Amino acid sequence: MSWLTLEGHGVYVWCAYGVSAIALALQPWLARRRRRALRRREPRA
Amino acid sequence: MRSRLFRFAAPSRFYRLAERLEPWLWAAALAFAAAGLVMGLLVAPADAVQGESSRILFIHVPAAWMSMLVYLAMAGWAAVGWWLNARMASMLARALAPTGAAFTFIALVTGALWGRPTWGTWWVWDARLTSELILLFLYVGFIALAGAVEERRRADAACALLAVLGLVNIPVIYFSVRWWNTLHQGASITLSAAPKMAHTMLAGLLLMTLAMWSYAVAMALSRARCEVLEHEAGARWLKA
Repeated sequence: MSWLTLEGHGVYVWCAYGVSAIALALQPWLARRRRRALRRREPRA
Repeated sequence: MRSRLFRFAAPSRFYRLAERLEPWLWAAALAFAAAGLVMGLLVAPADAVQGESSRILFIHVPAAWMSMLVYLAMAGWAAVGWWLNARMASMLARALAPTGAAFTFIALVTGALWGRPTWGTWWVWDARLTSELILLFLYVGFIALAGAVEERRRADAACALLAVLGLVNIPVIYFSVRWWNTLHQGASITLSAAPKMAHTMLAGLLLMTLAMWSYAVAMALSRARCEVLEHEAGARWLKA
């Protein structure tokens, strides 16, 4: 398990999982923010 | 059965169903991801040739599979919406596009991060990589087109046309490693042959795929609820 200590290309493993985690976590947050904004806005005439 | 299914084509019913299903799907995604990460990062052995960088494949391969699967679902819903003039189907297609784009982005980035230590390069204009990049452009084009055309029905028709034409790219991505001599390796798992990898590796891959599938459905429902809110603004059922 040398990837844990960034050995044996561990830095690539950390980067790959880090970028993926950010990309996947961002989406529900953006959707929730959009839904809240839509719920707050004035209804269309 | 058919009439039961069509009941959920009504945005109000769909909204409530999605609201109820979403927490279960998020829970499933988290549980599968936790199990998949333990299996892929801690239990499965490092690849004999690739070493520790092979652990990237537990996120790269499921993301690449999902990028194609989500596109098929998106194009399917877009086509149904266009053909039957079913607004909920078009809303689902719109809701799926950003998730598909995210999976494609992850597949490309993690592929580059795997390629650097394994192939010695971040990127090559290989058939598999190039067709996956085209898939990202198709998703971005779909999202841009949906936002650019003011009139909703025209936008949905234009998006459906783009999505259906883009379907040609899916078999190109999948079979590119067979049709052309590519740097990218062949299929990791096929239905016609027994897997050549360790059982723990296979379990890790399948668990991560289930996690991403649950995530994709949860995310599609979450975004579809946004679409319903936007489309049905001022509707009486929303105030209730």
